[in-house]
Amino acid sequence: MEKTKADASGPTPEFVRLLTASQSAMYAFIVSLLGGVNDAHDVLQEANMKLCRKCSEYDPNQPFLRWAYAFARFEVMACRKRNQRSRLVLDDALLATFADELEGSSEDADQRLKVLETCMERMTPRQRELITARYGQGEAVQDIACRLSRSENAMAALFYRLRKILADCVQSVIGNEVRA
Amino acid sequence: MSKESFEHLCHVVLEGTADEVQLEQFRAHLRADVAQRKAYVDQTQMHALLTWQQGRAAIPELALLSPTNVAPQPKIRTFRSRRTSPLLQAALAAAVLLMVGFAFWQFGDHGRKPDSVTVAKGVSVDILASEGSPYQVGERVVLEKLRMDRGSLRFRISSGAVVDLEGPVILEFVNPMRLRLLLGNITIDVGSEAKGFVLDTASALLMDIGTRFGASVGNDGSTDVLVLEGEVEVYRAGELPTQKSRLASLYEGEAARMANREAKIQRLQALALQGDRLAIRGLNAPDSEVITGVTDNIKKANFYRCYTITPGGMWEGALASLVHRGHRKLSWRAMPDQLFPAELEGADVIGTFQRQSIHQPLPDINLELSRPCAVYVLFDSRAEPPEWLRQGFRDTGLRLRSGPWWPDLFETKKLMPDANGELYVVHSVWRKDVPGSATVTLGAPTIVSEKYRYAMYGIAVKPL
Repeated sequence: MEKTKADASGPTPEFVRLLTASQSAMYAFIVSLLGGVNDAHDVLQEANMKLCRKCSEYDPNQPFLRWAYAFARFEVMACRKRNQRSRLVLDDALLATFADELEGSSEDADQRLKVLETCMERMTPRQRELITARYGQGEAVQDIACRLSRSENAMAALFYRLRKILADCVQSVIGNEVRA
Repeated sequence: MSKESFEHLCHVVLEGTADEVQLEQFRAHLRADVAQRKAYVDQTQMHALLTWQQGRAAIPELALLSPTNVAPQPKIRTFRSRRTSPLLQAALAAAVLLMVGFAFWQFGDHGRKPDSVTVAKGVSVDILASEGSPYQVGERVVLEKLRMDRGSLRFRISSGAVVDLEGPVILEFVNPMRLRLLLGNITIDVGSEAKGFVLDTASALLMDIGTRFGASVGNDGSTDVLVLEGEVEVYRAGELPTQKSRLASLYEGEAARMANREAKIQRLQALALQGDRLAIRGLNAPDSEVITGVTDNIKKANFYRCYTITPGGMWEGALASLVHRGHRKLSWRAMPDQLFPAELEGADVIGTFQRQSIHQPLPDINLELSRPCAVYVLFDSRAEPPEWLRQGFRDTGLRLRSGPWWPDLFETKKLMPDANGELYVVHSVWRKDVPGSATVTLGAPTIVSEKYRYAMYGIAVKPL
């Protein structure tokens, strides 16, 4: 294989910084296109590898995240092809719709994580407890429901609302920051 | 289809349990409705970010950092994003650099191994909670040996086991399925992912068959173990875990002590628990300001049932009993539509065990008390109070419930379910004031010769 000159020089520290800062956003992008976290880590790894190989092609004047999303989207498609026998959440048209929409977002790569932390602090202790149980300790929704003597459906609906509250809060805070 | 249905479909999709019919319904929603497409993006993005933020999304395994590089940061952060953690940033940057090296090796000159790829030594853990320890919530670090004089830490090992520990503690990380406890207390929850997890100590080898147990190693090298859920097999220290070296199988609510590797395994009659979670306090933490011991007169081979002491733990939902019934513990609850009795709040709770594990003769329980206090006996209100209770205690008129119980027991045969379909036993609260340091003996929970079919009484102690 013939290597390009840029390949030989490798990614710059600035490129590594941008890639590092983009990890959570890329992970979320991949999860949205896959419809869940299964395979998301592997797809992220593949995308990271490709980004590193193609680092010389990155134009620093363009938003890094939008460029990275294109690689992630390609790797999601490759993953779907490998897993075509298993159930896919989105069809090709829906995937394209969501990918286009997310690629067009202009948010700071890791701004949402910072804001999410702020929004978590605004939640009640009880809500934070539930989030920690589900996402921090990996407890299944069904087990949390059983532990709290609630039905699984009721608990699933509660988590839906909690995620919505957080999504609304994140959008609101970011919107305010942009307006300010 | 209703909004609830879309929520439910979102749930099964995110959990990865949707079947083909549900997926088709879900796609139909997304095609038809812009608002639901937005809702889907919100849900998946938050699901991903929370998974990432709380440390359950895997960081590249090559992100190796030693805790010795980090200055101690006692500040407690329950929720800490990866973005704001300098250590995580460094870990990710290191991972990316290593990945870059790997990418060049893989896609470039195959004959030259990159210098940046190193072999991991130690065990990768995600920090889930930290108080007064050198680690921060959300960090991923690789540990070989952990020595902590104070503070507490909760982390998840890459095998899936979740570990709670408190200083002083010395712990070695052999591999993701094996730890060696040299000193201090540890509570390990292996869940379903790390069945067969091994904890070595100087005096025992503990193999967790699932799912949660606590162990404590004292300065003298003795080991205490209490099974909080599931089953643990105890083997002789320093030997392979075989039928020959197996000392006992302990089940939920059972505890044992090994004084040294040659000693016989002994029943441990009482062990203290943390008040806020199901974890042991162990040898190095004071059990209680007022209760210095709980013993009974049961003399039976292979009997390991244990009384639990939870200092200050009497609140709504306090642990009443560890039982062989999986995740649903028996707990103390206020009566329906009533507040939890203020008189009992904050008392030390002694978890007792139920009749089905005792057999005859029914025990006397001795409480060693170090200072003036009120002793409460929470007695099954359906039973006739025995003489020792009527003579030595007074009925306060307060009532509590234990439960939820299961329908297939003698104790619950005639119980009526409550409004939620759950079974609760109502207990009358009896009180005796103890003026100073003393031993108080509680008798059998029912009249001798009566066939016992009621719930075992509970015990609480509050300093005066």
